[in-house]
Formats: sequence, structure tokens, C-alpha cells
Amino acid sequence: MSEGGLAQLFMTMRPALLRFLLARGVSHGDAEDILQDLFIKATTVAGPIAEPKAYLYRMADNLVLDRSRSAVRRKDRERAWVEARSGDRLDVDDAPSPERAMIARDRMADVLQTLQALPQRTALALRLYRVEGCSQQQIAEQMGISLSAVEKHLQRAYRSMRDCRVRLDAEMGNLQRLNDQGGNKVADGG
Amino acid sequence: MADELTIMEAIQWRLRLRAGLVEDWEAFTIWLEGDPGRAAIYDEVALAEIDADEALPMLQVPPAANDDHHEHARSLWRTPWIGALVATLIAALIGLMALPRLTAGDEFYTISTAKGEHRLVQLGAGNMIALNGGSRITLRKGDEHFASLEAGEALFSIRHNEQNPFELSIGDDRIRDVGTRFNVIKDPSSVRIAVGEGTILFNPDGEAVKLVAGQGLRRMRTAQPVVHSVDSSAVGAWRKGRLAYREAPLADVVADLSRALGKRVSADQRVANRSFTGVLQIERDPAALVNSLALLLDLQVRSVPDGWQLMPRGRAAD
Repeated sequence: MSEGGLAQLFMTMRPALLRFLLARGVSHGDAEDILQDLFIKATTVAGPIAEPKAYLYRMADNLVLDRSRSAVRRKDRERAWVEARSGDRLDVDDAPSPERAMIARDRMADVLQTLQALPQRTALALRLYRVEGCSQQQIAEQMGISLSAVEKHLQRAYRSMRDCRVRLDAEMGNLQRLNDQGGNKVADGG
Repeated sequence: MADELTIMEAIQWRLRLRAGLVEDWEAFTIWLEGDPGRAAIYDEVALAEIDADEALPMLQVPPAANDDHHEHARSLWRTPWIGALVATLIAALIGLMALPRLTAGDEFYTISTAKGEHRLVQLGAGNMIALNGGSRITLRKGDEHFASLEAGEALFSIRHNEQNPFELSIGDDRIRDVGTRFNVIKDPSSVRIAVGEGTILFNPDGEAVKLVAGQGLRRMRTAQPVVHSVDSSAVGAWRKGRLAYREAPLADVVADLSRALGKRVSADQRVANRSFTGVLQIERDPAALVNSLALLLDLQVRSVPDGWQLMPRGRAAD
């Protein structure tokens, strides 16, 4: 599909994409912003695209995820700034307070720990899927197992990953409340 | 509240949509509309996938378990890294039989990154190297226990191997690893090491300095190495665009910034030894970042081709 073609397709799909974005939990205003971004991307995309309609949906979905991520990153940045100013960040404290220990905790280390705890074959399937970019069919062939067994491995991995993220977000939320309250009281986990 | 069914459905959608056709996306829209809580669960799953993507390359995959080892060897042979693992096992067996090594005879190859580029290098089954921008590393074909950092910065995640420990060359210095995650920077004037997990030996046949998690070492040219404490959770934080310093000379900071920003950032001789403590977040606009660093240190910024130089204040920028 040519460049102009994708932009044209975008126009005919606009109502469907807006419906998707609203279902995706985005506010009406943000959905309009995302569609604007999407339109610009659609006009500048280079090269032919195999499934242009699905491609536009996927781009819209990615833009929603980008927004959620930059909101999280903004929080991280504010945190890093506070740490740098208070000097806690870089000190190796002999007896770190629980709050400090939580602040200093590396999110990635937690995720890595979750992945390390996965059964070996599950970790392998996940690695092939995400790092090597194999399709589920290719993983089934490589591992010598059925397609549904691949799905089970991946579902199990995603379940652990999702639970890890939810736990980390809850801790972060607690921390935020802790700071808001001047560290006097630990807020309920919720 | 997230119920089991919704979570599993969200995961299934995420998996299905990777190769999804337009019909899948339409069906997904209808699923989302079925309950306003579903979008948030799907978000959790998709964002967790992004978290995992960042961590996965550092995952140390253990060697095949003994009980189903044969099955692995048969079905996974085509996976490149399993092939490498088996090749290593064969190499180890050959070593045991005290025969000359049959692995590719010392074939070295170099991997380099442009400034601002990040690259992951998998070394055998369990070892992973994350190469920062403007860096160069030499590896030996078929040998997952050797690497030489020629220039720049790299984060190493190494699985411990009693028989055949990983060794890293940094110019004339050596690091022997005892199962760990550590970061190394090699600039023309200095070598800097920080250990995030485990233990390493610096120059095992010389000074034999043992570094544990939370310790770092810095050596200026040929001076004696100096050990100091580091924040172990910040080791390798450059991969997330965060540079953390504690009383670091400005020369080190600008060298790191050059790699991270893909720009030529330098410090005038007169201020190169100024000390900096703080955290720099790389995803900001490069010019603004350099300016805020200058402001913190009360310095002046001069534009140079493809970058900036930090200078003492009050002197006409020529």
C-alpha cells in the first residue's frame, strides 16, 4: 500500500479507531490527540504494509501504551530528582530505612527475579517469543511441542509478569502515599 | 477488581493481537466494551510485557536439566543459543580429555556501536553483554568465556562457571568473574568498574582485588586502582537512560554523556576534575541536559561542532 493510501485508509477507519480508543479506556480528548498523532504517522510511514487495517489498530494501541508508560516514567523522574537532591540515592547507607530501601529498589531487578522464577521451558518459550521474535508456530517446532502447549507456557509467563507489575505498582502507590503523609503512616495496600 | 477470567482473557488477547488481523482487533474492541474494567487489565498485561522485554536479555537461562536433557538436545538443536550451549559442552568434554581445543582457532571479531546506540550481545547460553553507545568489544568465536572491552561502556551479566570462569580484558587489566552483573567503562584515561550483583576479581594474577556487589573500582591510567562504594541498584542504569554519580570527576560525566547522547560533550582542562554528584536523566533534550549540568556546576557551555564544551564561567567563549 502506498503512503497516500494509508492516510486515505485512516480517514475511512477513523470512526472505528475512535471507538477502539474509547473502549481502550482513553478519554475523548486524548483519543482525538492520539488520532492526530496516528494520522501524522500514517502519512509518513515508508514502505508497503501487509495488513494496513490491523497495522493502524496496532499503532493506535501502541500510542495508548506509550502514554501510560510516559506517565509512569514521569513519576520515576520526579522520584530520581528528589533522591538526587536529598543525597540518598547514591549513598550506601549502613542501615537503610524501609522507605529508602523501597525507593532504591530497582524495578528491573524485580522483573528479572520474576522471570528467573519461571520454569525453564516456560522461560525458553518466552525468550523465543519476545527476544528471538519467533511466532508461536515456530516455537512449537523448535521446542518440539504442540501449539497449545506453547500457548500455555506463554500464558503462564505473562501471568507472572503481570502479577509482578501489579505488585510493583502497588508498592509505588504506597510509597507515594507514604511521602504525601510525611512518612508517618503507611497507607493501606488497597 | 481484576478477576481470574479477565486476566487470562487479557493475556490471550495480547498474545493473539501480535499477529492479529483486522477482525481480531474488531473482536477485541467488542471484548473491551463488554466491561469498562477490562481495558485496565489489558494495560497491565501489555505494560508487563514491555517490562519483561527490558529484563529478558539479562535473564540467565540455566543449562538443560539432567532428567530431560536428551529431549532438549534433540528438539532445541536448531535454536542458535542452545547450539552454542551444546558446542560449549562438547568443548568442555574435549577439554576433559586433554585434547587440543578444536573450537575455531582464535578467531576474533569486533562489535562496535555508534554513539547513542545500544546493543545486546548474547554470549553462549548464559552470558549477556549490553553495549552502550560509542563502544567496542572484541569476542572470540566459539568462546563464551572471553571478551575484551576496547573502548566505551558495557554491562555484563555472567553465569558462574567454576571450571571455566569468564574473563574480561580491559587494556592491560583483567576481570575474572565469579557469577555476576557488573558494568565496565573504558575511556582513554581511565577504567571504571561497578558491581551490581555477585563478585569479581580485578587482575586475578596481579593485585587480585576482590569486588563485591555495591563496590566499584577506578583506575586512572596506570595509577593504583581505588575501590569505592556504589549504589548496586544503579549499576547499568544507563540502559534505562539514567546516569548516577557520586563525587565523580566531570571528565567521566562528559564521557558518559557523549556515549549516551551521541554528541561530542567535553570539559575544558581547567574544570575536568570538578566533582559531580547527582542523577542525570538521558531522555531529555540533549542541549537542555548539558545546560542544566553546567548550571549545577556553575559552568558555561560553549557550542562546538556536533556538541558542547563545558568551560569555566566568566571567560569569553572564543
